[in-house]
Amino acid sequence: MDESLKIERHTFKLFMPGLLRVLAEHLYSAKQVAVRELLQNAHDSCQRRAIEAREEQYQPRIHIETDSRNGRLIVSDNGGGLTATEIGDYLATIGRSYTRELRDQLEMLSHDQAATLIGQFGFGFLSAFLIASEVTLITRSRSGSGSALRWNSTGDESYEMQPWDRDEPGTTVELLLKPSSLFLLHESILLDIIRLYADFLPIPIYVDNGTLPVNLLAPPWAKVDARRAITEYIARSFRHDEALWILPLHDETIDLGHDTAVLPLAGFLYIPQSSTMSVHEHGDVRVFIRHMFICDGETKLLPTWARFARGVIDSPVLQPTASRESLHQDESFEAIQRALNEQLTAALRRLAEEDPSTWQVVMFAHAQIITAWAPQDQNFFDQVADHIPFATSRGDMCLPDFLKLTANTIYYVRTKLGSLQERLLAEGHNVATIDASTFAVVPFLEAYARSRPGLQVIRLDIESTRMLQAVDDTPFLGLVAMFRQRGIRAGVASFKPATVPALIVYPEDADAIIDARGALAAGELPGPFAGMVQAYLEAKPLLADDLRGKLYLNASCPLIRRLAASELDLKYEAVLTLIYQISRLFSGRTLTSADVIDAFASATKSIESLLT
Amino acid sequence: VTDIWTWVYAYRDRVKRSGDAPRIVMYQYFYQAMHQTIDPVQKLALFEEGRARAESLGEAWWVLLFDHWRILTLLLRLQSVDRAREIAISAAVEARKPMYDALPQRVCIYDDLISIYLATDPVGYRRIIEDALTFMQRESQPGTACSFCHQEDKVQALLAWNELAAAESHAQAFVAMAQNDDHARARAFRRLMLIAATKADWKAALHYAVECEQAAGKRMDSLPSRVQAIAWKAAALQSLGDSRAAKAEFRRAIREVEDGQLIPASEYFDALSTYNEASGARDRAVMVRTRQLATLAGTGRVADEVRCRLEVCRLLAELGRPFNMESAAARDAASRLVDPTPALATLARLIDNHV
Repeated sequence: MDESLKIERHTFKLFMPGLLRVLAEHLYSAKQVAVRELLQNAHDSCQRRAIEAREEQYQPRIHIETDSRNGRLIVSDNGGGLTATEIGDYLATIGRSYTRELRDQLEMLSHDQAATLIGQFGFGFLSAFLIASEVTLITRSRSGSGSALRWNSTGDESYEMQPWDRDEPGTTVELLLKPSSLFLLHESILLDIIRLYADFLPIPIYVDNGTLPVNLLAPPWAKVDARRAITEYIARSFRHDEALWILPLHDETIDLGHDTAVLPLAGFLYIPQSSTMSVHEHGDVRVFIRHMFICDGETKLLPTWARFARGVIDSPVLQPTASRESLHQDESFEAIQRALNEQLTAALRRLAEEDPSTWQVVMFAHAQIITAWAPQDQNFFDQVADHIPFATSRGDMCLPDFLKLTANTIYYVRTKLGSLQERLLAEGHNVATIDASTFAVVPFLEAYARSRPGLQVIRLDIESTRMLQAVDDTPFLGLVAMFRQRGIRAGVASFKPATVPALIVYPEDADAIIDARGALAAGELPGPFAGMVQAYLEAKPLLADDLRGKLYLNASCPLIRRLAASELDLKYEAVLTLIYQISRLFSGRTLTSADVIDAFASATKSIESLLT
Repeated sequence: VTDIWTWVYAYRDRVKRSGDAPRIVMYQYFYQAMHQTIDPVQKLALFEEGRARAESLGEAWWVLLFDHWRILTLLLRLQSVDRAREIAISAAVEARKPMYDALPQRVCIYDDLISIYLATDPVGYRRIIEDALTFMQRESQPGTACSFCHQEDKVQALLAWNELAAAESHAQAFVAMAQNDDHARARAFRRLMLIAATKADWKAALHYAVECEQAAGKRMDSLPSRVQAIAWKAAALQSLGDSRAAKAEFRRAIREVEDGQLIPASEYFDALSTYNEASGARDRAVMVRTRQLATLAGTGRVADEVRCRLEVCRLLAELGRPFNMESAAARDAASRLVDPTPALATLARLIDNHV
């Protein structure tokens, strides 16, 4: 065999300084995570002592001390401590975890005890160097073999170890913080971090001279009065949120065909007070694994249609990434997804049947988001479709009520319906009309129609965002001139319904400006503020003529066409006045009470003149 | 009803008891905007949606309440004076109607107008601002939130008019008034801090900055006070020679602004610029001012813009660099002031000295 083709086998080499730097400084996205790792190590140390020593009087505790003067953060526990061998085998061996090995042993003997241990990867301790330039650990093993030990490292490849004095079993980790991490010594910041990560850990955590633990010690769903505890937790942890409805979660039994398996799942989902489409969507959960916080705002666990819900879940089957700041999307993740979907769907169905008033509040509060997302899931869509209120030209109503008015046809416009005049324009076909100006409404209506054979969906303002259509005004010039001679700004357009002869259209802020001018003229504003309003109005370019609006004659209206084709003489004076005053009154814009009286007087006088 | 919050909470309890779903939802928009988001755009969207619901329900008082908070969000969180003015004028005109006589929030709408003119051109509009402050003195009841706003307006105006002794006296009175209200106390100490900084009394500025940050705590509504306090701590510490601590505070200020999604007010940029100047980094101070100009674009904060542009000219002059374009921009901005004369005189002095 040709020697040059001989295969050689090599092993990877480790460049320790580089590896340590990556693990200590680049694995985690935030410095706060280092505090979590220290708390978790302290927690697991206490749990190990409880499991291994079985001391009846043992009361685990964790204590955090801040030393702002010297820039030190100190975390102590009265857990199992470490021997010199354990320090060498676990603390100083990257990737080997005492906790994981103990849990693996316990899984065969006591599942409950195994579940109390959190640690997994065996390098969380390195995160201490993310925030500290020097770490000192003083530990005494509860096994009583050997003296206490002092371990010290500045984060390079080596560490120092020497015998030390310590009476009680346990471990104290002392961190000399880097300048960039001194903010961790601020009491409020430190408390926020502890409560975020370790609120549910069963071991009390004390800070400085505090006599009460700063963590809750148990998740709210495990408390005796769970509903009240959850409500308080929501208010405390979700910026004073209040729940319209709460769903406690439970273990899910999975049918394997030949057998069943239990998927451990705890926590709760809740529906907040309201949401705004594209602005204040929810659909996210806070995730814990074995009571330790992993991440917030996880949006892939809840079904997409559930953007109006949020919650907190805790499940040991979820797998964190190495930094434990997010989740692996593996089979367990998918199993939890399915469980949440099923529990939420079933509970909402029960809510609709058993508590219709709460159900209605939920529908009102989250109508926009439900409209947007419900078509994503047929089951949910079927459940909610008849309960969502829509803005229509005849007020807010749900689709079954709307369809009673329209002979089983859904009419909609893409133009936002505001004033009565706009609604009339929208009802150009003499039917009630849905305001579909927000993007989610049309897909919802189309989905609704698809599931109901025979139901039609018709848009009434096709090809135009404006409901006034431009037309050739040549045939109407004489008529328009008649109005202009009377000091009325006039033009021609085509719109429906054809029975409406004319409308007056105003600039958007006409009412506000006229109101402000009127208030100033009447001296109704307190003196100094009148000056401020005056200064504002002086900067506004709108002329008085613009504020009076523009009369649009309807080219589709037979009356207008007839007038345009006629020889106009004095006898038409009353007709023109009536058209103008009716339009003025109908627009409802910019009118004072005096204007309304004047318009009615003018119209009445015109009618009388026609009668004589 | 003498206090707006008494009325708001009584309304909430009433509609919840009666199960009035549309009104519960309307209230919830208000609650969410107030307590559950720090994002100013989101806040504004929630207030606007709540207002639309109030309008469709015929809840005129609530419409005005939402308007007041839209104005504050635009003014304090988005720094947009122009948009705030449109709403405030319309709301002030609406508020004159007898139906609002008993609405406690009516006086707030007038106070909003004062804040808007203070933010636009406090020197140019001095006369009408003074008149309005005198009027408000009679209207606001001692011990209410309105009296705090009024007192703060007075201090802010006096500071803008460079009447520092009077400003300090009123600010001290504000601190005394706000003893039982952390949010108001933070605002009071912030004003004292700004007065001390204007006088370059760095020990006092540092003391008030610490007090301000403590009073602000982690409250969401005190975020603008907190970030200004941290920024001025950096400036004061640097001016007092403690560079290490100053740098830590400087970084913290920037982080707080980013985390809080805040568009900071001019006083924040003043602090960062002062910090950089005290560190001997004038070029960095120019960068700070450039960032400030980006936040001021199109907001209608004319006086702030003019002051910022003049500062850029001064810094460039001190660095020995040309500033022809910057001086033209400053002149253009000054022309939008009611009285551009003082600003143009300052600019002329800078150009003369530079030449």
